[in-house]
Amino acid sequence: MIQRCNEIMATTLAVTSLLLGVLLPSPVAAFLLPSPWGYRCESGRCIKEVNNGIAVLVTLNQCKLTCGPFGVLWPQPQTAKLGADVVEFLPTNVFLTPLITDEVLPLLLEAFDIFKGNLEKHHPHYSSGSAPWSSHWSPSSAIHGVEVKVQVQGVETFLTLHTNESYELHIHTDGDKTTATIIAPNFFGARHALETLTQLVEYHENRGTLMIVRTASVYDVPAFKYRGLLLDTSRNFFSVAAIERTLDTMAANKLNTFHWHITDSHSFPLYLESLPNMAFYGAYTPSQIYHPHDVRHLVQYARVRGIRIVPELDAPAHVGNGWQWGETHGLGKLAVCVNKEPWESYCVEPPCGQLNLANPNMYTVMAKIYKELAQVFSPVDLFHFGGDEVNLNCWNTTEEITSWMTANNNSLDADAYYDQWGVFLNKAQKLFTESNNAVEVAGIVTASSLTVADRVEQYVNKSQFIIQMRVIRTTDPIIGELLRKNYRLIISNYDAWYLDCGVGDWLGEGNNWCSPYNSWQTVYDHSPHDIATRQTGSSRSDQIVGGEAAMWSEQVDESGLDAKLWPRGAALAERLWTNPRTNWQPAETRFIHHRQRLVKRGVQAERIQPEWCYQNEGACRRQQPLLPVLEKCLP
Amino acid sequence: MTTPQHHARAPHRMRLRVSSMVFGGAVSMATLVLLYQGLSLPPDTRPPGEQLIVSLESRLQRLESDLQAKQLTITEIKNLVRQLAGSNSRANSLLGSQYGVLTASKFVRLPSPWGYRCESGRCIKEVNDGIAGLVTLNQCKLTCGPFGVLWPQPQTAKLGTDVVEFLPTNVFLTPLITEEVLPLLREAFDIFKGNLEKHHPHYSSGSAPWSSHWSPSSAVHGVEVKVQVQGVETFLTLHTNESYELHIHTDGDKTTATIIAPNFFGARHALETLTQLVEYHENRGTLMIVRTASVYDAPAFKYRGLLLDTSRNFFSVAAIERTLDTMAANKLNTFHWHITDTHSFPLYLESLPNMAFYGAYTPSQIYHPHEVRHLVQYARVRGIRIVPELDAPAHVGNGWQWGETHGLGKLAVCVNKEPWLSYCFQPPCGQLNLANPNMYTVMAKIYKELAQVFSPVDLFHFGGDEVNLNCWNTTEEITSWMTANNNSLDVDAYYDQWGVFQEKAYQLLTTVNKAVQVTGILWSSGLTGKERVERYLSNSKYIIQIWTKGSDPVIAELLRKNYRVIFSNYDSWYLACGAADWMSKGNNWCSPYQGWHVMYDNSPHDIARNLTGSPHSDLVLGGEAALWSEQIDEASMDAKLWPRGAALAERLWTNPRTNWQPAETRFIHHRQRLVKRGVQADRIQPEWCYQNDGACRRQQPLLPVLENCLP
Repeated sequence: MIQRCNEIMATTLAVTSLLLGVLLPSPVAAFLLPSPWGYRCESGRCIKEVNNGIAVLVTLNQCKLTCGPFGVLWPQPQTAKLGADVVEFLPTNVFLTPLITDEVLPLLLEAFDIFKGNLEKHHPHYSSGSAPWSSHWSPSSAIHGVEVKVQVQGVETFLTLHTNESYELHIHTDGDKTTATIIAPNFFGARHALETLTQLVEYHENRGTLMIVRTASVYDVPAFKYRGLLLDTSRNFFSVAAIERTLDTMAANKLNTFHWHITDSHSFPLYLESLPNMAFYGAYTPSQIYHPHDVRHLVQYARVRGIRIVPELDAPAHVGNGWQWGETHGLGKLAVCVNKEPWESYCVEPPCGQLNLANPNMYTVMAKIYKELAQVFSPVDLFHFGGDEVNLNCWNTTEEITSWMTANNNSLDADAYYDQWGVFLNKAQKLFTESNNAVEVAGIVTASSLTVADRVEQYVNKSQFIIQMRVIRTTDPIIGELLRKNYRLIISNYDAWYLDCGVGDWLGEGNNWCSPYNSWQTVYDHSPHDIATRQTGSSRSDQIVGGEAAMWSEQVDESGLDAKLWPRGAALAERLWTNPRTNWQPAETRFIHHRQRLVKRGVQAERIQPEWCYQNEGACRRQQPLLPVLEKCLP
Repeated sequence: MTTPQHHARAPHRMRLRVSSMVFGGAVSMATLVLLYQGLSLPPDTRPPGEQLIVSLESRLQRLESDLQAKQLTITEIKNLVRQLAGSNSRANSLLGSQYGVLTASKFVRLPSPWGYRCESGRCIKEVNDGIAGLVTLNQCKLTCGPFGVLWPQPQTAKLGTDVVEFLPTNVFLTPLITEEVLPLLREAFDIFKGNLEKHHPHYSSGSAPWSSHWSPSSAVHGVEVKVQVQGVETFLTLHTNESYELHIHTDGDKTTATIIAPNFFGARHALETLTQLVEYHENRGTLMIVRTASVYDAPAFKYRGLLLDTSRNFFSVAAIERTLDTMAANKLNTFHWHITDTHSFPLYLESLPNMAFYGAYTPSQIYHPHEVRHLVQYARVRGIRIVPELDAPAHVGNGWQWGETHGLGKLAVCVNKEPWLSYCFQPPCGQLNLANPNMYTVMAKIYKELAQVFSPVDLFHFGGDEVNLNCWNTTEEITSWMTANNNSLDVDAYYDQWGVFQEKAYQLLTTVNKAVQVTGILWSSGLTGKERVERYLSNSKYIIQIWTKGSDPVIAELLRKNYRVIFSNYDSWYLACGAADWMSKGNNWCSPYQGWHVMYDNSPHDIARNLTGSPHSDLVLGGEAALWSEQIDEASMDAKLWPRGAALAERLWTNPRTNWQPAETRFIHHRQRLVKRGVQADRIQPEWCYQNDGACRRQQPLLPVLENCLP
């Protein structure tokens, strides 16, 4: 009743004003005021106006859905042609026609269920799996059907760096039926198309139905093969549910790589059946452990959402807690400098710890870990060997290591330690290949002092390894140097794509080391090809595999996770999917709508503007530099 | 909790058994793990001799051989454990709380090899060898250090080092109080009991699964909460004495917590303190309370506030309730509700429905009168006053557009005017139309309803910030009116009119509040500047809320002129700073982010002393952290407010002489407490730091980390 009342009241303001006088003084309990506002599309912007019953205004959602060349699609597709009309329907009348290979069917059925679930989430009162679709829609909305035809010829069921993620999506409406045709070379493209299709649907605020754009044609393909997000589960633990939610949200943004920084010196939260001591000693608490079935579940959960999981076992630094059991179990010290003080002398942050290169049992243990990782993450497409922030001083102040160095005729200088680090890396690579049934996978290593210009070629084989540019500034010349040496790179510069920057320091006063906060505009404008062009004169698009934003978790756990990841992760996603020539400005209104969409899907994404800006497109922009606000009002 | 040598042997021997089972590799199943949850047994459950140990060992051996003989299902293993555990009460407590068996193939709950002991006020994490008498992390934190995990720190506290286990079902209230206060106290006690439930790690929507293997002594232990209150106050004012005493005493199977307070508000604070002397016992599945304690406590400041802006973005009633809950957990006592602004007018007024009709973002984002009344009461039970703010004469706009079509003329001018930079400090613009007498009629109606729904109003915030004279001076209606009334069109003339507006506003509020004068609060502004403040604002009627930097000389001016002040200096107590700018690239105007250290160390008395040579403790009423909501809605509100709001709270309640450093470990535990209570507070350190007290500290200035690893 209230809803119908709303609709009537919204139609003409004269009636509404009258009704307001009559109806409103009485109620004691809650009631829903109507709204005098409507929206119309003008030059790609939705304009808010008082609904006088003469101008044809529509709801905010309807306006956003059809205003501007890309509506509210995020990330922006390469090309899209959207009709300006919508048609109403109910999610119960959506069905799938699969024209695909047998191999792909189970994946597609699951992806379609996710798609239908996301349709439900458009409803403002959606809650735990369903929405109250009930009441006053018109007969035409109630019978309108939406058929989703999916044509896939390929049989790929695992994402690799060679997967073609492109798709076409065509929407056509005839009478009481809308047909959405998806054509993709494989499941992964088709899945992306389903996400795009969800974004061509919105909730109709006045009718209580869904609405879909009547006609549309989208041709789409990602600019980069590797579109990643890193989550560090060692500094603080994240539940399986929090990781699932993160994977859901990545899928909503067509991000395709979840880089799982599982372990670090702080904790070892992974239960290994062959090495239960790692988690026994290394988990923060018994309830903060990933079990093999959890990991297998997440790998499958990600795959259906078009995401590969890249496991990282950081080494030879960033190990410590979890490795303490070697001595009492007859294997000697597996790691050295564990929790050693003063930490400033042995590592970059507490607690310290590095693998004990002098102990051959360390490699036996590594082999066991790799073997289980290769199993639970099977099939592994990419493996991250870590490799950052080795502190040579730790090794050089550990008697067992210096003796071993000397006994093996090594000097005790930096070069000698780099040699041994290089030996370690290549042994690790071989061990992993052996553990992976002799199938060699591309390894990723972090840029470090081992990958500087005059060392990298000595230690890091460019056909075996991709180098991730993390802990590196955008202007660091190493990027150009590695590109000129023909290394493949993944871009994660901390001055744009670290998501943990800009809060209070956790080791003292002031703000944390990589402050300030990287705003969504900074994340969006950070273009890997532009960096390459600036440093080498060419965009090096064959060598730049992609990019990744990093959620280091020293100062975040699942309480604040969503707000740190989103919507900034969406800005990253558009840079990596679309790689637009433009900066953040033309994307702003789509971005803000997308943030609202994520919130509806249950993600606690940060708000970036007052709601007034969402309702008054383009009005929240400072054209001049920031004025000294205070002086204006305080003489 | 002594650990006699004689008894210590038992757990030690069992540990060897455990490790052989876990790591020996003799077990045929994929992996077998024996639950091992700390070995220090309390004296009352410790077996008197070797007999039980022998029996237990043989049972464990049988279990091991059973497991080797056949592939047991998880259910069979659970049953086995249950059988073993159920066979006698001592074995029950021993096995139930100490051991269990599960398999790793599907689900495993690994035990923990770690325990903690208190050394010089720090909890030290060590491998539990069964000899050292280590306790759980919670137990260590609860009793280690002079203030345990109390937050904010009480003025004085003496805590015993022992704990006693109990269940929340055995907690009861003995009220020795006045009748006026009884309903409030009963409600506060229910909240207290609810918070006890929330200590449980599996607490969910109102209750926790208290079930299984506690010892008989835990199950019968009672906790009586005696509350003595003589006063009859039921509303918080600036004169309320919020002090309290709390004494905990344990005798046999009963703990008595005695609370003595001059009024309900002190008693409520004592209940919060009492909750913080309780923790969940990770190994026993019970609660534990400090056996003996004496706390004498009183706040340093009368006004301990938090501002929430519900105009830039809307916050649901549930989000506000959660904020009030968390304020109560921190003994903050003032919720400053910045209800309206130029962006939206989310308050439904029965006499002026058009304000919300035009001014709400959407019909579902409106506060209705019954919701406001509910929140006022909700806050009161939690020891909190709500201070409503109707910002004026600037910061109005959306919601005021209906005047012309309803025959009242323009109520506000410059509404949504462009280019906004010329007429206001952020979009959208809008200021009240001083030339239109109907504006005052509308203001009177608004004030009247505010006075009703927020009744009784202790303090009222008139706003008064960021008036843009250029807006008025470029509006023909206003300039004509100025000229017609023989005013010039210069800055001073507009300040005069602003002053007139403020005086009228004050009178209107007094009139609608049944002639009861209410102390007003105003933001520092051009009107409160050195040359003007005394001309326009009486220091008996107004408190000035300072939002400029802590070094602003205007603070000294105001104090010298005997104005009462509340500190919200943006360089320390603005919670929205350090995010992206919302109108261009870069970070927002008040960046950088203010970490909890900054909030903690911002001392109003020190600011006053630095500027005037005196702390002016009579004039400095307190402080307030502000959550302006341009870039926040309820999705991420908790993380912006907490735990930094807790740092503010300790500054305002305790006003410690020390800086953040000695507070750090208590602070981190308090953050964990807030999370358990359902608040999505930001994490400030790796959990490793929580388990290794004091180890996360940089003694030198920040090293050039990058150069360390990249030559």
